[in-house]
Amino acid sequence: MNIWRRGGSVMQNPYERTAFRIARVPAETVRYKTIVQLIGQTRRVVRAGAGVHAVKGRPVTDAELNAAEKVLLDAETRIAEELLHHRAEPPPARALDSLLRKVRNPAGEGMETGETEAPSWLKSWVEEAARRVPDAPSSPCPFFGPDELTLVPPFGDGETEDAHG
Amino acid sequence: MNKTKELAALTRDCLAAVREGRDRSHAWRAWESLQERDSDGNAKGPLPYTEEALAAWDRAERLHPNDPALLHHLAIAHHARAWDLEIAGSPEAPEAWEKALGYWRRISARGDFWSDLKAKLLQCRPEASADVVDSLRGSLMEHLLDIHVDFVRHYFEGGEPHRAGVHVEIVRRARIAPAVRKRLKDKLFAAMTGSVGESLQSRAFESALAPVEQFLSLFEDHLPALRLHAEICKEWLSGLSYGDGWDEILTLARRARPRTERLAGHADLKAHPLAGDALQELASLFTQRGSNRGDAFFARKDEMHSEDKRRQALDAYEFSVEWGRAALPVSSPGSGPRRLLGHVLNNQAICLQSEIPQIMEADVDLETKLDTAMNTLRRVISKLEEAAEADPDDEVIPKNLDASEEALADLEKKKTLLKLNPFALFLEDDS
Repeated sequence: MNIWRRGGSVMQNPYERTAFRIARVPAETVRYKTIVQLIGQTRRVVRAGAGVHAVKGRPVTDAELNAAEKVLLDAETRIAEELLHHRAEPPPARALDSLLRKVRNPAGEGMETGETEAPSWLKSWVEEAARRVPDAPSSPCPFFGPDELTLVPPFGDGETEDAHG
Repeated sequence: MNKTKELAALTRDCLAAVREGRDRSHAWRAWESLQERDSDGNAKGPLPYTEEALAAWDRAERLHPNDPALLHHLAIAHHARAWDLEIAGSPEAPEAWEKALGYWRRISARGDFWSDLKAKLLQCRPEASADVVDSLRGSLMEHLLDIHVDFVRHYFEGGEPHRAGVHVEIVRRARIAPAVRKRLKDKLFAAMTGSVGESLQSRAFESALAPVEQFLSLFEDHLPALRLHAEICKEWLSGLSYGDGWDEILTLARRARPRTERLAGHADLKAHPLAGDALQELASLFTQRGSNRGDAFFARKDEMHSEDKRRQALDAYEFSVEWGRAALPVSSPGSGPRRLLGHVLNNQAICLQSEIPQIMEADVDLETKLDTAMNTLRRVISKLEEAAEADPDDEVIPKNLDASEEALADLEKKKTLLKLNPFALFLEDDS
């Protein structure tokens, strides 16, 4: 199937209302149960009232959500859908943060006892670099959206380990 | 490891982390600017593009021109933008489409992008076959270009052929494998000529022919299009009379001629008998119309003395002969088109020969008259030889050929005599 023709009309941009946007499922989510839960959450929001869940100002309908669910719960169609959807970008200062913790706290996390303590000039330099890299710490995490999405526990690094077929 | 080495390693890690952070910051800024947010500022999900994101990705691309994730962001963003420009009717759309297709083409070539996608597929469903991703990759460019075929159909149906042309050009210029190109050409042909059947039913021949000619102006050797062109011309021609409709026939012939020549010389013609049939039927019908018109003048013997009428008959025969010759590559020996060509050439020869008495009565010197008459007879003989070759079974043509050859020999004898005899005026009476 040609994912770019799925909308039925060429006068409809297929990138705007991808299954991920419609269902409010982050493209990084691969666990079947989590996807089902997220779609369930979105369905409740859609049914709660028109316009609560809108994409570019246009409310999402039940029919759209059903179609998105069908796409996302089938691994093959979901993978094709990924071509239409941006993957989340990790914050750029992630590696720096980790280093920062290391140089600030040599005896703590990330450093074995007896390891070299970073000299003060290196600490200052890493701190300055971390300050300059714009990772927008005040922005919400891109892997989650509105508050209701955060109600479904647990998200995290372990979710890919028990992926569902 | 001694302390100095540990410190050096730590410093290297710091440098690498700073470099990575700096490099990724553009992509992060782009990602942030894509977020559609609710009234509380919470991210609702990414938009396909924003101008700010595009600018940030452009900067990121300068640092990492081959980063597959970045290329994917750029492909999505530019393609989505091109789509919006298209919907808005912007003149910037064609360039935006080309740019977006360029990014998708680069993604298509990036094995690491597709490996990541396979890994993701297996994360979603461990027992899934990775062939799915190979298939996605294999059909990527064709699927993307199919969109433009859809636009072509959309604009043609909406009566905006100029906008359809933009998308035809995009497909035409696309750098794709020959097999994919052929499939797309066929799809484009189907899209552009979808309304031909309806036009033919209502006998709106101009409307039927125009999209085929538009397609052929881009893909001049497309055999199905050449065949369709011939079929439409034949339908149109079948309703035209050699009398009242002659001017229209000539106009139609001028449109049909370059396409039938291309069809006749097409390398694949023999493998497509229906295309050959279309060529033969059209050429034969043109031949017939010309022949009928020539015969109509030729039959009126009294009018053959009129120079104008004879010229019209000869023009009609010449038209007919040209189309008869066009049918030859697809006509077998003894077939109708060949017999028709023989008939027309024979009549054209007789018509030409009928000029000779008038030539001999002209008010010029005898030598000039003899030269002109001999030249005419040589043309007559040439026509009759071609006629005999086209229709070897015709019994009349060889007799006419013999008679013309005898007449030429007679004139040549007179010319020789004229040169030898200073009292040639006496010969003039005998001529």
